[in-house]
Amino acid sequence: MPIRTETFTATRPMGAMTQVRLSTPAADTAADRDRRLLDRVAGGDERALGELYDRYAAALFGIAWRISDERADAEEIVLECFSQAWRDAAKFQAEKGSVIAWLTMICRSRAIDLIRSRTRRAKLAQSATAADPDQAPGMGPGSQRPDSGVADDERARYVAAALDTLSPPQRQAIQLAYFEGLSHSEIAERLEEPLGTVKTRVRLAMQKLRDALRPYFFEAVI
Amino acid sequence: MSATNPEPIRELAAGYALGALTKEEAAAFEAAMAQSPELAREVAEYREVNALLGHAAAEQPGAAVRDRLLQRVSQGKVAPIRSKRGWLAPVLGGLAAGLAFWAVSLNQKLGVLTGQLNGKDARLAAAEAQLAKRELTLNTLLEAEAELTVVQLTTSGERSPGVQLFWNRRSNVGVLHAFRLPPTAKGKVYQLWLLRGGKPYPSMTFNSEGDGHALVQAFPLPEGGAFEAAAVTVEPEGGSTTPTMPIILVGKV
Repeated sequence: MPIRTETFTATRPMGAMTQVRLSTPAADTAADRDRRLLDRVAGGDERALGELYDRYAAALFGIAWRISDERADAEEIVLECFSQAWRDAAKFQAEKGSVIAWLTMICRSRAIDLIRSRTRRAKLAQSATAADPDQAPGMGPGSQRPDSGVADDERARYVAAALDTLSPPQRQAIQLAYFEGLSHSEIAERLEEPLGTVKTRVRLAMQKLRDALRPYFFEAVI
Repeated sequence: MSATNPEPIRELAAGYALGALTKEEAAAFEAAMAQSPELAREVAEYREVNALLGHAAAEQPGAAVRDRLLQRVSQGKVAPIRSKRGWLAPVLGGLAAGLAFWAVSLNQKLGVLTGQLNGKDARLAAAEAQLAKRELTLNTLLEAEAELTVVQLTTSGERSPGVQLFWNRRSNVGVLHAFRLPPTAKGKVYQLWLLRGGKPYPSMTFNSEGDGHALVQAFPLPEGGAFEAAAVTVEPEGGSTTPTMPIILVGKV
């Protein structure tokens, strides 16, 4: 497969990284490699599953940990997520996005199912109601977790920079939707704000993130 | 009847990718997305954003997780879903190698059985697809609750053709049912138009089956709502941006 060589330059300010250059061949090749890897997984290749795990377990574990707030639960979620990938690899549809986008969807879904089944939800509600939007919960390198070991990765820095461009209320809304799995109406209830305001806030925040992060997508969406 | 603040379906894309919609909203959005590659593309982009957000939160799980996963898989505790071709080919190969004498007849019998099985699979898949489509239609109609408008598009004459347009104003999605409407000439299609302030807004194109029926499910309607009428014209394949006269069918909202 021919490798496209393109260079993207971010034109909008992204925190401290106003000008960011990322050569895409690595990203394109990684997406191709992921699809081939998943093909092998679909064919029953256990070694390929191990490679897929090595590539994305950290990203998925980070999501699962933040959502579940329990390391042991997060490990179970990651285990279940890759087990599902093993079972369902043949169902993967490349036209719907990258392999990691698919895995992220599975992981979030499992993690959110878990917290929804817990009574801890009430505790989370209390803590977030008291939260000040100016001190919205951390996402990425801004994490308050003492033993946080965020991967020193280009993409992580780009994402952190993109998140910095969101207003604190936008960031808080994304935090509640992404890491706590709340619906628009649950966010509105939690923040005691009109539903329409919350919907608009989430939409604008996601549009902002999409526009800032498009050059760094794992898979170019055509 | 006029629209009351219909939420453009496209505005739900980000919430859909995040899983932040209600069941009803998600169903309506999925219905619209099934008809719109644009919406599907937008959701795919938001899913890439989701993946990147996860990347920013990366943490290493304990080393034992990897071992447990591979152990679980190698012990067959997680059975992968294989395509039929995937397991049938080795089975056929094994039979041919080990039972040379019987291979031909077995393969013939297996071929017949596989053909029958595939035929049943295909019929089952078609029935499931049909059921899914009907469920989609039903969901589109039901989730509108009080915000469902039915527009009857007619023309003069007895036993004349007609079109029913069901407009879910809540998610601005439509379902169209045509009857006694003959298929168009080759290279032509029917096109639906929504009229507001006398101005036509193009919607989707469709054609009818040989029996004069057509059912178009859960397609997005032009944004803005407050439509006063709907009309159908005959247009070249691919549709037009302005209607070609004459108007075949028309109905007031």
